[in-house]
Amino acid sequence: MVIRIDELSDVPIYQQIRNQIVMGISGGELKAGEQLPTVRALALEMGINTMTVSKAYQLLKTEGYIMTDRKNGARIRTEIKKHGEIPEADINELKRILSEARLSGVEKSRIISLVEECYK
Amino acid sequence: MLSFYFGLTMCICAVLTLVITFFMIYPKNWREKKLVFGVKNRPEYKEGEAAAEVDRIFAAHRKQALFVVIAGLIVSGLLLLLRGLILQTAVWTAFIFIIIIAVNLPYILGNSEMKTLKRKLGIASTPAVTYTDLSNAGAVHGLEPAKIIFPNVVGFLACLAALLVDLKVIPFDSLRIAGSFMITGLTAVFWSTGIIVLIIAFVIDRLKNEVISTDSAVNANYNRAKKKNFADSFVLMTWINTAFTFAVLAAFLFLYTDILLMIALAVYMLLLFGGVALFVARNKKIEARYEKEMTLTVDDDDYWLAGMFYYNPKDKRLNVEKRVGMGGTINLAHPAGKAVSAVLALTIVVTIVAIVWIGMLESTPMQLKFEDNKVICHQLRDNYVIDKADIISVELGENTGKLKAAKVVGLGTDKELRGTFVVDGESGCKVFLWRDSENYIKIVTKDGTYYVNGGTKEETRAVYETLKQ
Repeated sequence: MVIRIDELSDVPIYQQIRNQIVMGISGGELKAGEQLPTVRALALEMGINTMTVSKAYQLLKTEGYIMTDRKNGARIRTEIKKHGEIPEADINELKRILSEARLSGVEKSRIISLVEECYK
Repeated sequence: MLSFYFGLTMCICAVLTLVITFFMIYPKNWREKKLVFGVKNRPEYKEGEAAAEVDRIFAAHRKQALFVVIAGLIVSGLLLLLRGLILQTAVWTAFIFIIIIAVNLPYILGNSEMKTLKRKLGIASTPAVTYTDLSNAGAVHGLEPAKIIFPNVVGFLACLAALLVDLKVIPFDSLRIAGSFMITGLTAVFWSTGIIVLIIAFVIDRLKNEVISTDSAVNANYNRAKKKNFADSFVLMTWINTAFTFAVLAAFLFLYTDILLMIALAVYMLLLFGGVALFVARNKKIEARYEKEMTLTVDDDDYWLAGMFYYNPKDKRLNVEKRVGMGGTINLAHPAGKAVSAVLALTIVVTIVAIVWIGMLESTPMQLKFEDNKVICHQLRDNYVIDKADIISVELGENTGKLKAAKVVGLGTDKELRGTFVVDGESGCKVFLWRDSENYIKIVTKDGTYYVNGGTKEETRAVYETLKQ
């Protein structure tokens, strides 16, 4: 799985790493139980500070996407908690995106097909 | 004769370096390459007017480089006519510095013109975007540690054998210089080259993997192939180095002649260049094999100063793969990178100063004088001052050329011997001899033995007469 980091983005790097790993899990690119690189190896590979990667891993662990232990490093959780809810902040973000799309003249059908494509 | 073989070895190295550098930096067809003068090759450069402009830039600078290479080859040939090791060393060192700059200059100019063209075409660099393959991070290697450690261990045995000979644990009665640690020093120098190659091999094997595709398998195979090529080349070079370390040992112990050593050095250099050529050919094959699968490119041209020096303060890595040539380079924005650059600059300055200093010594005859009850050996500065009260005996030798002196620390050139030497089997002797001067004085003091003379026979005799009184 390839992670794309944009240093000029408003989104902090640790958040970009977190987001793309979540998308990787959701899209099936990262399988349940799959080993993630160590904090040091990933930081070295990306040319960023180990603290940044550590922060991303910590966030993923708190959110229940990965598990870490001293012996095996970080792995994708075999069972991710399914609470069936979209957090309030994400709903607001979705509203913003949809509003901008509507104002830009994007058809509802296009948005629905896009959602279906992403949700596969 | 030794001077001729030294010149020949340097000439072979210069010719091979120039030819390999030319074909590496200035390939025939820029369209097939990932980089054009250190600027990422893009589809935009291969169309219409832009293509014609890149053709012009490429042809013009390739022609300049070809001119530099031909001039370099001619000068290398002419330098074969030089005689005298010190003069040769000085001239070759100066020539190497000049030719390195000259052969890279068209590349630097080409890089500048390519960046201008890029701006003209309105292509914005996107150095802020980087790709990392999560599946391969820290997991793709080509080096098997044992394969590169083993030849170094074998090379160490040569050093150990040399040390045992010098310590006289292994008796080698026919060897005059046993005990001078000259063989140990020389074998250790070549063995340590192997250790440096070992460190570089490990560093390169741990370099960031290049992301050329969204397919992790393609990235893994591409990087593994490239790292394996590096690893195989380094292992080959280490074995060549180990073989040469043994050749040095054998040359000293069994068939010592300067000429044989120089021939061995020439063969060693030829083999090393063969290794580099093999690496370049295999690397070309790998690039051609994966060319069609390269779907992702990161444009970080702006971080490559002159297309060859990497300066990226945002990148925390110290080592990155070179844009031009073989191996890796350092991030000059990294604190350690700055330190390494400073050391490198200092080394260049020290080398130049040392050559100038030795050149001055060579052109300044030694002086021997007796003042204030002291024997003073002077050349640019007072090298040795021997108090008359400390002298036990003095003896005048009539033929400086017949002295069997092996250098331990100091300077040994066609013109002079200066420093600590093993003389006629006695170690720790202080030597201050101008070779053109026929006679010398052997001075035995309570602190050790000195062999000294002045720039002329008369000067030496005068000091001897004074000491005898």
